[in-house]
Amino acid sequence: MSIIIDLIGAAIISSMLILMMITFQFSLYAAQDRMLYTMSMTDHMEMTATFLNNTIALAGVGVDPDDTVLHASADSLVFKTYWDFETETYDSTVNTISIKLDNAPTPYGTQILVAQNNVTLDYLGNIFWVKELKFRYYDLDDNLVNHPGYHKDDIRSAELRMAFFKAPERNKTPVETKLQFKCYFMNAYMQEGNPSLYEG
Amino acid sequence: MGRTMLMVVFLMGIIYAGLISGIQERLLYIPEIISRNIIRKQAENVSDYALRLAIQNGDYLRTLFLAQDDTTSHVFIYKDGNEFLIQDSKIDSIKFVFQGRTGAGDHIIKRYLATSYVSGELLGQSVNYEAKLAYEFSANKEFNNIYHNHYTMDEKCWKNLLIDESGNLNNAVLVGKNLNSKKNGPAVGDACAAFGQKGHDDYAYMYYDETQVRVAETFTLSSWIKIPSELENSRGTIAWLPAWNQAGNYTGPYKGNAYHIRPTGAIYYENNKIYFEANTSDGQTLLLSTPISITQRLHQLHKANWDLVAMTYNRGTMKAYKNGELVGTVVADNAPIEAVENWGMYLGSEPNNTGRKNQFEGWMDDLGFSPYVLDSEQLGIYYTTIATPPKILYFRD
Repeated sequence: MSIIIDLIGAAIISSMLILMMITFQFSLYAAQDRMLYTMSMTDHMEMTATFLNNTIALAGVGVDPDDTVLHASADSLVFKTYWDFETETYDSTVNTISIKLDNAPTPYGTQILVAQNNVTLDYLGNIFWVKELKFRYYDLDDNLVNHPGYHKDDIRSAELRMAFFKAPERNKTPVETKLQFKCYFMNAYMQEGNPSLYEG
Repeated sequence: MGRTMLMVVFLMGIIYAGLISGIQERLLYIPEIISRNIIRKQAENVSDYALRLAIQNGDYLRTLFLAQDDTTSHVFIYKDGNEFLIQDSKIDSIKFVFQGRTGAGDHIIKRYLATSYVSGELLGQSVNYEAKLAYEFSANKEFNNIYHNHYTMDEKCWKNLLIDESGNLNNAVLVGKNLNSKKNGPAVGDACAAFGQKGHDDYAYMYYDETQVRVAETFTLSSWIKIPSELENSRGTIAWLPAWNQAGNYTGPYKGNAYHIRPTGAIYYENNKIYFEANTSDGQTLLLSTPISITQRLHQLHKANWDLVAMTYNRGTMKAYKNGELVGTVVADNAPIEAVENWGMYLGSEPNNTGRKNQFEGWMDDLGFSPYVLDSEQLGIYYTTIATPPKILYFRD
């Protein structure tokens, strides 16, 4: 009888111990999982910001700075440049680059579409997990351009506000992270110093 | 009992090991992300430095490839790890590829594309970073006449004092309101001085009158200018070398306070023309003029959109230049003859009996003043050196 009581006692104690340890380990696992998610999302956001910054910096290569922007709204930006993003070289004809959020979400979240002459660029076309992409525009003096659609010639930089969204694997609670950064049309800025190329 | 506990411990060990290994596997991925981000940022920064180096070396190439028919390319390979290793990233090389040339004769423009190669490695993560910079420069001779001193007009101190770049301390004093140096205006940044504002009475001008700076025998006077359309027909003095009212060499008809109407040398604007004037010691007035464009266009930082006006006086012979080209010569009746002795200098205005008159409204830069005579070739080289500096066409960093 005493052996049975010992066994039951041992089973109860060990079960509690196991439960405690497993709970602790799963908590640790979940916390670490979340940290990993945050790290990878931060990494993803950094890469996105770098890509977009480098892309927008090439706006206005070989173009009169006042004619660089073709379309500017809160949702999308279209600009001209002689830079060819496919071949990474200076092109003989002017290219039109557009940046906007895709219409419909994919299994990997909504993606940002960066297109050259309406053809999505492969290496820039896979920016996923984006929920929101908004633009604000600034002029040469960093003043906000109101009605950018009517004052396209004044625009020299764009402020991007993005929201990234991804559900972590082991936690159904979605995590949303936001990013706000400013991209200067560096090549358009530089053309201001070369007005002799663009009289008028 | 013992076997039961053993089984329990064994089961716990399996579960524990499974969890720990899973955690370890994921935790080990985190430093990988961190180190990749760090090395990428480092490489980006080093790449920016490499582009600056490309510009510096580009200037070196300018002398190396100055020969107009030279079309070779060049690669700088950086082997000295200590000099070009910044933290964990280093500049491997910068390649300059000749892209083409335009123009002919003395106006050849050559174009190069510089590509910098940077690599970095940190904790097993390696990155390669490539950046491009396209630029062009004039293959003309470069102006290097050390006797042609300038008031460069691009310093902050210009607001109170105009520093004499020659080191002779003939600094000019500002009178009146501060000269404009508006950002994003016709006078971009601190690059030039804007005289006067239409509708304002408090004109500004600058003068120097501490010592004589005698230039009666020979001198060169030049300035880069932009005349705004508002000026229209108004007369505005750009540079004025006043005659000394006690000039010892003067034998002409003007006496006493009338000295102000006979400048030793002067450049001024009136009725869409630039006038060049010199007065000889026997009272002759030498006068030349040339049409000048007036404008109000923005984006005027580049000197190709400005005019360079210059005059030389050489013992009775006065020559006038616009944009490096000779536009007129006039010789005094009894040359060679000295100009009337001068005292000091005025910019943006001229002295008269009661004060100042003919205040200038417009933009002025790099006023040049020399006791020597620059010839046509030197003034032509000076113009092209300033008007066609190396230009960065585009960059991809």
